[in-house]
Amino acid sequence: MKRFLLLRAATALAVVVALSALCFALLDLAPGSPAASILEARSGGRPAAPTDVARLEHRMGLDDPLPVRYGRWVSGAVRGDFGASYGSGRPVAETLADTAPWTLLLTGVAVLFSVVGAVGAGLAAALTRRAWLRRSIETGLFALGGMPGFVTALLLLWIFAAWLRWLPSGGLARPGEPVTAAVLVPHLVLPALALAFGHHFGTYARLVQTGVARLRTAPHVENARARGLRRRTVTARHLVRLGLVPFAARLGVGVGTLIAGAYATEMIFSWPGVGREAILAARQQDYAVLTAVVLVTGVIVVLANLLGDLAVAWLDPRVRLSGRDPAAPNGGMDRAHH
Amino acid sequence: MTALEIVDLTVEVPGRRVVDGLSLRVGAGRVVALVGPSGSGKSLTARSIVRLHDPDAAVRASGAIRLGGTDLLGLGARELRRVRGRRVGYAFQDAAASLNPAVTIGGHLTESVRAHDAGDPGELGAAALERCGLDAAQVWEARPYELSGGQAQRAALALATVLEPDLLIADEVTTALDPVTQAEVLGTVRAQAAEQGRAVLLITHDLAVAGRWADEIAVLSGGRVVEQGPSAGLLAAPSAPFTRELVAAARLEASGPSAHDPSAHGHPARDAGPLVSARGVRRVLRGRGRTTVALDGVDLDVREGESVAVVGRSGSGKSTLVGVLAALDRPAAGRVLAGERDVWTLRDRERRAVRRGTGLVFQDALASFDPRYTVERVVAEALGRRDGVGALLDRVGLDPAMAARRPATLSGGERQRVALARALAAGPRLLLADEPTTGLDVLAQERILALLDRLRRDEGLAVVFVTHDLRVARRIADRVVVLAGGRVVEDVPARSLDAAAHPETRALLAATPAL
Repeated sequence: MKRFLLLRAATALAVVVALSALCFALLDLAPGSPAASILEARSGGRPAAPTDVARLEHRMGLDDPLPVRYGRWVSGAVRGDFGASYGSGRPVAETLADTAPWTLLLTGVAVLFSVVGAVGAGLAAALTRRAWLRRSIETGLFALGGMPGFVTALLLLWIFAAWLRWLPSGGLARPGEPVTAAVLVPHLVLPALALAFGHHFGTYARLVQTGVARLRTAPHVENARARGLRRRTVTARHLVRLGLVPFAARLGVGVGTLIAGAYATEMIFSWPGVGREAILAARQQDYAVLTAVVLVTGVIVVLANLLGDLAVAWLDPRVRLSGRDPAAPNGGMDRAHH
Repeated sequence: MTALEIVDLTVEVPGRRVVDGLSLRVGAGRVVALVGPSGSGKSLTARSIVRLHDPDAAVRASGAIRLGGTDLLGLGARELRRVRGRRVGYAFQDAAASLNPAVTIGGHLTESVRAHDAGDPGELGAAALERCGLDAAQVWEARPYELSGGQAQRAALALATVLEPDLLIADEVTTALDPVTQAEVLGTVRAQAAEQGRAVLLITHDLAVAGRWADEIAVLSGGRVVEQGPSAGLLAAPSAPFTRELVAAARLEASGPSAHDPSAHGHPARDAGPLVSARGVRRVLRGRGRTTVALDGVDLDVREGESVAVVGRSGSGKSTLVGVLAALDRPAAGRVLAGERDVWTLRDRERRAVRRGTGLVFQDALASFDPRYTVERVVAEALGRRDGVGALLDRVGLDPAMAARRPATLSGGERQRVALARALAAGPRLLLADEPTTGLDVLAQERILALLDRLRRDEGLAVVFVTHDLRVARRIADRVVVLAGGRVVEDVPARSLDAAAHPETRALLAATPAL
């Protein structure tokens, strides 16, 4: 297990490093110059003279070769210094410190909703003997699965904010006002629900359902019944644990999509997270902010993947030995899982 | 004293009556084998005793199943749970799969003891393991996949008998085991039955196994017992016509020209050069944190029209040898020759041509088919065209009308024929068959073996037949090659097998039950 952990952690670190380099290179290839954008913004939209652009680029160090700029950026980043925003001049680290916790809170709660909902619905569908219940869950999941994330968000807004008026539609942070739990919770519910149910929720619930249902006639489950174990023990220990493996494996990967979705959700519900900053920065070609946001997002995704792998290894100890694809627990059991 | 008494049992699955008025007695301390071909209702009968059916399938059972004085069919779910595991132990065919890979052997034993509040789990569990010939200190913390096939079956047996049940149902427990391990496991079952006065219902399709380890045999056909009696008497003088048929098939005697006589073949067996040869082949398998030398300097020649049986215990390298001879797996050292050419110095294209000249058939035919394909598509894919599928099916003795069906709807014997038709599609000179009849009942097995005989005789096909069953080897082969620890320890003509001297061959021979 220790070796497995070390190996996975080392891989995760390598991925983060590669990600930062790739992101830096891609932004360099993007058309337009940040210096021109800044000058344009200052002068109220008038195109800037090429000499002015060149002078600003030199002052910002943008005319140095790519490896030099990357080296400079890395040496700052490891000390927590991501430079200053091209637009506002505010240190990027400060902006991240203000916004990243909100995004983490939103996605964390959304993942929680997603897991609880998917496991609940999936287990109910897999274990119930009532055909009508299984069919209605399947139909609901199918409908959810066909809906893009932003449609789910708008639908929730329309029902709970506009029509029933149970929950606020957004606008959590007003400048100077402290955010209390009483304000936070109602503001958090809708965006978290939208994020959870709008991003692969149907897939997750379905993976739980098929993962568990497939094992119902597995020899080790039959044996557990033949040994006279209590129904609860058979279900919890022999059916659900291994049945959750495909879901856990997929969830670790899915968190990436969830974070991408979080940025759109933050815009819809005016949530004060990283997403809004990222979209603004992209519009303004504010590479300093953008690179940092991509890196932070990347770290979160890599960590989520790591947690997913660990969850799979905990559920199915065979994975620890081989380090192979956890979506295929074993050859014999998995014939129906193409 | 009768421990288990089944009276007039009828079991229906939707649309079909599988068990039809079955009556059977098993006395305390006796081993009774329930023998019959696939689909005769053996397993359904065994499962009905503790109502172990698929929870979704609507299975209806009527009649009476009495254990001691209790009618099990009349029990409610709660009382039935107390009978399961405590008064009736159940051991399954695939022991490793019948254990949860996430739970240690000790964990399994502990939960069984706890479920019935039967005492100290550590003490009872260790005693059960010891009775089954395992060292508790060694396997308690092990997970099922860390055990060998034989160890896993012993652990599963310990689990089924940890609470010393009155009745043990052993459902095809040794079908996948090599003869030596099989003899050890069944020896343990028998000894425990005698010592603890336990009734054992041994479900098997293998009459020879039944004859050697059961006190009585009950022959099942069409959902009822057609004959029950002491093993020796029943096998020596079967009275029911069906029993006679079954016994004849189980004797594995070739009908028609002898398979052991090369002159009976239309093709020369000895004068042509070898079709495929292994020279000093070594193959090392890595994985799961350990390294295994699966083949360690193997030399083997297979000539045109020849039939070679490769036998050995589990893990002796039999299946690895098939992969190497098929030019699929590259040996770490040594050469594989197709004719004169070393297949691993050829270009990829030429090597693929060599592979096309070799037909492959596996034990689990169904797993080797795409589940969405019809029989026609399975065969046509290998053939490269659709016309001619019917002729191929005809060649392997299948009705060409089967082409439209899916393999999952066929019987085990029929699936194996489809696999054969696919293997023959490219017109190979050599057929590699890896345990193709293991798990088939004796009647289906005999039909496959007769078909292979015919293909050799009429078409001069060379066959390499991997099996752990020496009786099958003797029936099908001119030559028997015994593998042990990745080495060839014996390579003799099949007719002089009984005179073979190597201790491994002697052990296999001694462990193989005969009729």
